[in-house]
Amino acid sequence: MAKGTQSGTIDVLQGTLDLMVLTTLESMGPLHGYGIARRIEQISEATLRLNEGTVYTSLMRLQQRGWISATWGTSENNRRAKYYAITRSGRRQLTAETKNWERMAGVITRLLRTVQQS
Amino acid sequence: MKALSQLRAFVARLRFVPGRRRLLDEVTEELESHVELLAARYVRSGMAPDEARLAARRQIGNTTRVREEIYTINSIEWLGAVAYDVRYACRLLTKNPGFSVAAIVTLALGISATTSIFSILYSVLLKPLPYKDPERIYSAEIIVPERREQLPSLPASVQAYLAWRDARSDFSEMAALGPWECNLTGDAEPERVGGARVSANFFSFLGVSVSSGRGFNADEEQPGKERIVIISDALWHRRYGADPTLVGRSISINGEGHEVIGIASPTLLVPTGSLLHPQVPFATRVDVWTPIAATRRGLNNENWDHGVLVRLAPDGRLEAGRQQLEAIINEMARVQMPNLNPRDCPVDTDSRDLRRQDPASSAHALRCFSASAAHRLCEPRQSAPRAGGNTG
Repeated sequence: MAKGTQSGTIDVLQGTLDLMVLTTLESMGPLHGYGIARRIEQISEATLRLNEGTVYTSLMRLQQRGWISATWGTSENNRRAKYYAITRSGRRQLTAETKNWERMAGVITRLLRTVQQS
Repeated sequence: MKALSQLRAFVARLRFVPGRRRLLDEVTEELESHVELLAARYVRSGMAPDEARLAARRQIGNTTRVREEIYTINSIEWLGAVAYDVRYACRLLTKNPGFSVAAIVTLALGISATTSIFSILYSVLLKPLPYKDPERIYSAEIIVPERREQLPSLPASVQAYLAWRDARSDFSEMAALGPWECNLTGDAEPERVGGARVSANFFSFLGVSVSSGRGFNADEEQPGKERIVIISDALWHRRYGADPTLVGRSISINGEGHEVIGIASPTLLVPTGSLLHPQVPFATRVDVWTPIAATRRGLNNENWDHGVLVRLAPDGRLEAGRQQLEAIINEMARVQMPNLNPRDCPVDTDSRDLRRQDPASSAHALRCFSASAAHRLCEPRQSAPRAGGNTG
């Protein structure tokens, strides 16, 4: 669970970072770790507090599952950087995970509503 | 399904294990680059460089922790334990070399003995013979019950083969083969090679191909058309230097020209010895095949020295087939036994006794055709079938 809220930001929910990274790569095409962090920051409109280092742990996990692949390229500051791209099985996984997430979110929402009503 | 995906995940993990130190270096590099890019961004938004760097580091969090996690993700716990055990074992082995050597030699001898015994047993007993449907092929033998003590069984004869072949039985196909001594002359040093007279369907019966040229045609069993040979791949190489124009040429065998019509496949295992019948006097190697051409005179002076291979029909019953062939040979013996010249009998010690038997009893005598007694081709009866076969 989120460890409470501080100044309007929330911590990234356990296990959701992988999904975020996967979605980002699906919508943006190949990106390096920094780019992914920026995109997540942009989308969340700075409401998410993300230890950006954990993006790399997530990237490693996703590579191991074969859901993304990595190739070396050059970054904006002219250093070599690893660019990550979603694979076909990654896309399949994303579809499945998205459905799961929506179901889960629906359940949580309904649950919270009943709590509020009672 | 779950197990499969788990296995796949495990293999995917394994992929990264060997390069995990390099991966770690790469992640360090990525993290540094990340800090730099982030700091540059903060500087652009007006921060002092030092301050920007600090802020960037804060935002990226604990990099040591990230590296540790990546290392853990890429290691397989028990693999480390195994590596430790192996190292420990090696240390122990070097500590007591005499014992280690004794143990290793014992194991090596044990393993090699076991594997060699297995490979022999496999080739002798288990490996299927290189023929079409080997488990349905039987070799016929003839048992003379009264003579069983001295002569456990006899091979068949061409006459028996023809009689059996032309009758209806539970066997779908039959082939015969007998020895043929060949003196090769003419083209090179005179040479004596082992040969075989075979029924025209011999190669197709076994399902063995002729590697060049053709097999025998059915009409080539007729006398006058039999001056043709198929030679073994080995002979073709050895004597004729693998000459591709040999097929179609005539070679001199026993002073008579025979046209070479084909070269047998190098993998052909000729069923001789105990594969067929131990008393069919084949040479140790068979290099030449010619069709059996049965003249009436030849038949009457015939030796019981031909092997007959039979193939049980898909719906045939072995015992039924055995009885059918037994009836045929008993009938044949009753009619023709007087013509059987005992001196031509392949087992000379028994010829005297055979002659003494009156036709009636000898007709009765030849009653038990093989199949039951007939050993199965693919099962060793007396000795190893493989040891008995020749490769041609």
